[in-house]
Amino acid sequence: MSLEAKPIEQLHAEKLGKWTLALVVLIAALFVAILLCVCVGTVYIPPDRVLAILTGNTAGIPVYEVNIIQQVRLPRILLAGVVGACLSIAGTALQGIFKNPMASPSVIGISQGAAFGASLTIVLGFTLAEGDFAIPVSAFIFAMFTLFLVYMLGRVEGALPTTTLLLAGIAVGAFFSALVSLMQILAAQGSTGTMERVVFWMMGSLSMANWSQFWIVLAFLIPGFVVLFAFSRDLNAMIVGETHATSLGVDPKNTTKIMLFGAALVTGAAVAFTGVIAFVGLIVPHIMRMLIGPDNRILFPASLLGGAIFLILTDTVARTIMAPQELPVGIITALMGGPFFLYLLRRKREATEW
Amino acid sequence: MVRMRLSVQGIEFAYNSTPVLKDVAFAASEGEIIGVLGPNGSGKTTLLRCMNRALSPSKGTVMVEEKEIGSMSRKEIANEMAVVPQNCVITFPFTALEVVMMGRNPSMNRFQREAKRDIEIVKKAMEATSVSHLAGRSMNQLSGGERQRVIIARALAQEPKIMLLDEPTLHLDVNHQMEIMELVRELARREKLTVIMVSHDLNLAARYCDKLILLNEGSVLSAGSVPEVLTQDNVEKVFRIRSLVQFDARIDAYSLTILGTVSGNGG
Repeated sequence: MSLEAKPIEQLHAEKLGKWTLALVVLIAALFVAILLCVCVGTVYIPPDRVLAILTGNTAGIPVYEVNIIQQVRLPRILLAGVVGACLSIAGTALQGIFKNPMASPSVIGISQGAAFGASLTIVLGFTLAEGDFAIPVSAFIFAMFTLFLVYMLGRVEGALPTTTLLLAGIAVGAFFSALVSLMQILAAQGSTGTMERVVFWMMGSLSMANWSQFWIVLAFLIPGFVVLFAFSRDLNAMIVGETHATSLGVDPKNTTKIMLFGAALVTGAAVAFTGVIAFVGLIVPHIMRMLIGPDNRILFPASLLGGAIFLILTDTVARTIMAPQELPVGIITALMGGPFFLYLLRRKREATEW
Repeated sequence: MVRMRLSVQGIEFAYNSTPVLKDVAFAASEGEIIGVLGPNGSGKTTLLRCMNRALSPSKGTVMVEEKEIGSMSRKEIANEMAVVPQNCVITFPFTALEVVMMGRNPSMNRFQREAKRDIEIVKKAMEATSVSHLAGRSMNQLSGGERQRVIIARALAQEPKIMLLDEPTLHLDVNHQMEIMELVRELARREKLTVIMVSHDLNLAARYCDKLILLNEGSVLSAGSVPEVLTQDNVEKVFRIRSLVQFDARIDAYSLTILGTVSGNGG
């Protein structure tokens, strides 16, 4: 029997089976990735000892190893996880709502806008929220603003073609990253470490990670994910077309607003503490879509898990490959993401005409 | 007795204060196929979009049986009325089955999964439009006619009482045009579905519609049976062509012959 002649019940059951399998494998992979990445670093700590520390059984283990795990590696790895998750679900939402496989937070400039918002708070003391939330809230506000700007600039007769979306995104993104660099340089004039801070914002880095950052990003990730996931079926209908969505009882304007809001929320949180980490939000949704299909009801959870795994692994590479010298994680993601982006661009042009 | 399914009552609509629809009114009963005809810019698609409240008319109402659609939620409307839009280009590789399954969305809660009953309905819908064998294929790999049949299957999966079709045969080969129209007629007869169809194709409309509505510059110029509406005068006035409508016993339907264009300033 040929593939397309399978009965409908079977096709549907196979799809659901694939979803369950994907979730189980991704969750398992996430735990394995966390465990392995906690082990490696300037000091190697074997998995059995790491497990003992993680389960609170520190008897007979040197104090410095306990500290490395609990205060340095674990918060950093978990922050990488939530940041990767945020960027990936944002990418999934943006690709869906713009019906455009090239969309992602950094490609269309939202991450750079969020970095500008964060820098305003850090450098000039501009705040809209109290304490630890000050930076992510300004990052979120500017992520929203940038999204709106790119959307308005890229629109041609009500549609958002790839070329104008990318051009608007690149221009707006470049403008905001220039402002970020300028601010950092002016603020730190003459003092040492200025360029490091500029590079931090341009390439993204997890080297300043701490526990409070992890909790704050998680506090944005959870509601962001719930909102996006709740509207995943509506997003499916939107991908078929706005008139189709209306016919299926979906309000297209409302769905668009919710998707953009959710994407800006999680992008703002991700960028606030780690700068602009490029390509995560582009690659991960694509890989997940290739593996399990385009249905956003599975794509959001799968991107969340896949994004976490991806950034945990790439950040571990970034901090160990040239140890003790640390690379910005953005270098690793861009080295992988650049070629992948070109591959998508080529393949799409050959496969379909936009 | 034939029941009134849908009535459009004195609808007016304007885009940026340019009136597009002026006092449009008509009614459709169950099992009836109504063709909406008119030249480009006569307001056909706008009328269709007002009917499922994709657009809100500035005046007038649309009633589905006893309910006014202005008072219904989008989901409630989607449970009564399904739309088959002009074309669909899908960016991501949804399969035909996934697209038809979307027809069940309006009857489900946000987090609800498809139940056995939903799968049964989808299966029947796909059988009705002969697309079961395409279920596992990506929409982007299908031909225009196959895609259109999948979208009609999705509309059926909504279990609607009314189906709105926007140029269902646009861009299709002649044999696919016939196929789609035969299918629509069969569904109207068998499922007692009320069909409102916007079309450019006078001949196809003459052949398959029970009633026609001829729009000209946003107003109903004529409404009624095929020979009542497609008179030489009406067709000449609206489309600037000379034509003849005749009952053709060979196809057991009306057929329109274009005799020539109206030259000069016409009207």
